[in-house]
Amino acid sequence: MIDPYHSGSILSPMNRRSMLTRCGMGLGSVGLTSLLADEGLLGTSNPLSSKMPHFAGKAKSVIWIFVNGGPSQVDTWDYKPALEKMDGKTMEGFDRFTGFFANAVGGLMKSPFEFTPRGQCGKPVSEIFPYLGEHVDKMAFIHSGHTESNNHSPALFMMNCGVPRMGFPCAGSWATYGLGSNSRDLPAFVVMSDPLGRGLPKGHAANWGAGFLPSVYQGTYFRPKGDPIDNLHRPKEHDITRQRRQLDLLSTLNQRDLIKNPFEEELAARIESFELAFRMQSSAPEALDISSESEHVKNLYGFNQAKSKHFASQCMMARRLVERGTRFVQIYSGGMANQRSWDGHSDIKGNHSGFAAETDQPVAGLLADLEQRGLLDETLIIWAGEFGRLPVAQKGSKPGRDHNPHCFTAWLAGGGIKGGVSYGESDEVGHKAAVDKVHVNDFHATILHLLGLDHEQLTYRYGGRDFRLTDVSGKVIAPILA
Amino acid sequence: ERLEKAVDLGYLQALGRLPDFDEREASLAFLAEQEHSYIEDKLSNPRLLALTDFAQTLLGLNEFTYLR
Repeated sequence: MIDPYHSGSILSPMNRRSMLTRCGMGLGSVGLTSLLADEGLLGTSNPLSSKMPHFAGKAKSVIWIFVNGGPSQVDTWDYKPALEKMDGKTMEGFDRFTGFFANAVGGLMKSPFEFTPRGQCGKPVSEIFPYLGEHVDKMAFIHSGHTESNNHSPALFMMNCGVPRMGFPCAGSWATYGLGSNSRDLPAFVVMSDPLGRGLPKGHAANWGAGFLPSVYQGTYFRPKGDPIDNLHRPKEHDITRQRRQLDLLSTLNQRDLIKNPFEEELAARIESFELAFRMQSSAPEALDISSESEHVKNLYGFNQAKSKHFASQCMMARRLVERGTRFVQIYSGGMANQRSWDGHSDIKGNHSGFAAETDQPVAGLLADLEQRGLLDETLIIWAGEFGRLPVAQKGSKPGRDHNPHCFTAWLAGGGIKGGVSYGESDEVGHKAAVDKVHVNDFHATILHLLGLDHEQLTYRYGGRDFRLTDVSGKVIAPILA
Repeated sequence: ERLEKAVDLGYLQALGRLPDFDEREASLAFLAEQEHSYIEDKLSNPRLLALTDFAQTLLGLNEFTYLR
C-alpha cells in the first residue's frame, strides 16, 4: 500500500479524497482511510499547513528583489576593464538579432560608471551602489547566468517559472507547495510591484501564478497604493462575532459539500482561503504597519529620502512579513518596459542611476536590518532580473543597451549563502557567459536547495508526468553554499 | 414557518435545490442567533439584517461559485 510520506513526490497533506484517488481501490479503501485517519496519518484539508522539507535547509524564507527590465551586468556588478579599452570598436561577429532591436546595434560601449573595490573581498562594484557595496561580503555573485529568451515576458516566465511560456507554477508557488506556510495569519507568498504608477512587470500575474499547482499556492498580490489587501479593514458596522457566525455557517455547509465532491482539492483550498482572510483581518494590519518602526530603522532603509521612500516601505514590509512567517516575498523594482524599469534601451546611465538610487539604500538597509535581528542566516535574499544587457550600444540620442539573454549577473545573500564570493565568469566584454555557466534551472535548483528542497524530488503530477520547477535539468551551485 | 420558507427559497434561488435536513437546521440556527445578536445591538430590522447575512453566505458557497 502507498506510504503517504515516501511516495516519491511531496503530496499535499494526504486527505481522504487524495487517498481514494491515488489508490484507485474504490469503496473498499474507505475503511482503510478511516483507520489511517484514526491513526493521525491523514492530514487536514489545509494545503498550506507547514510541511517538512526534504532535508534541513538554512533558509526559512526568501525575499527576491526582482530587477525588472533586465539590469546591465557591466554597469552594475560585472567589472569589465577590457570593455573600457575597446570602447567604440565594432564587435566582430556579433549577431545583431541577439537583442530586440536588430537595426540599432552600435559599437562596444564602456560603462559610464566607475568601479571601486568594496568590502573585505575587494569586489569591484559600480558607483551606483554606494550602500549595497558595503554588503558585498554577504553576497555570492553569479556572473555566468544565461537564459533562453531575449524578450521580457518569456524571460520573466523563465526566471519565475522555469519555462519561457505561461501556465507554469512560479518559484514561490513551488516553495510554498513544498514547505507550506509558516504563518497561520498571513499569506505564505506575497508579491509587491511598483507603487509609482509605472505598471506591472510584463506577463502580469502569470509571474506569480501557481500554474497547475493548486491555486492556494499562488502569490498574494499587494496593491501598490492604499490598503495592500482589499477589505482588510472590517467596516465598523460589521461586528466580528456576526462575521464569525457567517463564516461558521459557510464552513459547515461547504464541508458537507466537500464530502459529496471527494476529489476536488480546489474546494478545500477555497474553504481555507476564507479562514485565512478572516485571520488576516486581525493580523495583517499590524504586520503591514511600518509606521511603528523606529526612526533609526526607517533611516537605515532610506525611508526618509524622497527617491527611495517607496522601495524602503516595501523592503520594510517584506522584513516584517518574513519575521511573521511568510515564506516568499517578491518585490518588483520598476514597472513596464523601457524607462519605467531597468530596461535601459536608451540612456543606460540615467536609467540605471535612477533605479539604483531608488533601491540601493533600501536593499542595503534590508540586509543590515535582517543581520542585526539575527534573521539573515535564515532569510535568502535574491537580487536578479530576467536577463542581462549587451556590451554593445543601442544607438540613439542617448545610447543604451539592448537585451542580452546570454549573460546576466545576479547575487544571493543570507539563507545559507557563502558571502564574499563570485561564481562563474562572462567573457572579457560581458557578452556571453563563459566559465561555469549558470542556467536558470541551476539558479532555481540552488534556491530550492537552500530552502531544504531537492529540486528533483519536488514534483507534481500533471498531464501524465511529474513536473518540477527545474523541468529535466538544473544543478545546485555548490561553491556558493556556506 | 416563515423562516423555514425563507431558507428553502434561499437555497432554491441560489443553488437550485431544497436544503436537506441538516442544512435547514444549520441555517435556521444561524438565523436565530444572528437575529438575536442584531436585537441585542438595538439595530433596526434585525430579521432583515439576519436574512441578508444568510443570503450573503449562500452566495459565498462553493456550490454557488463552482459549476458542476
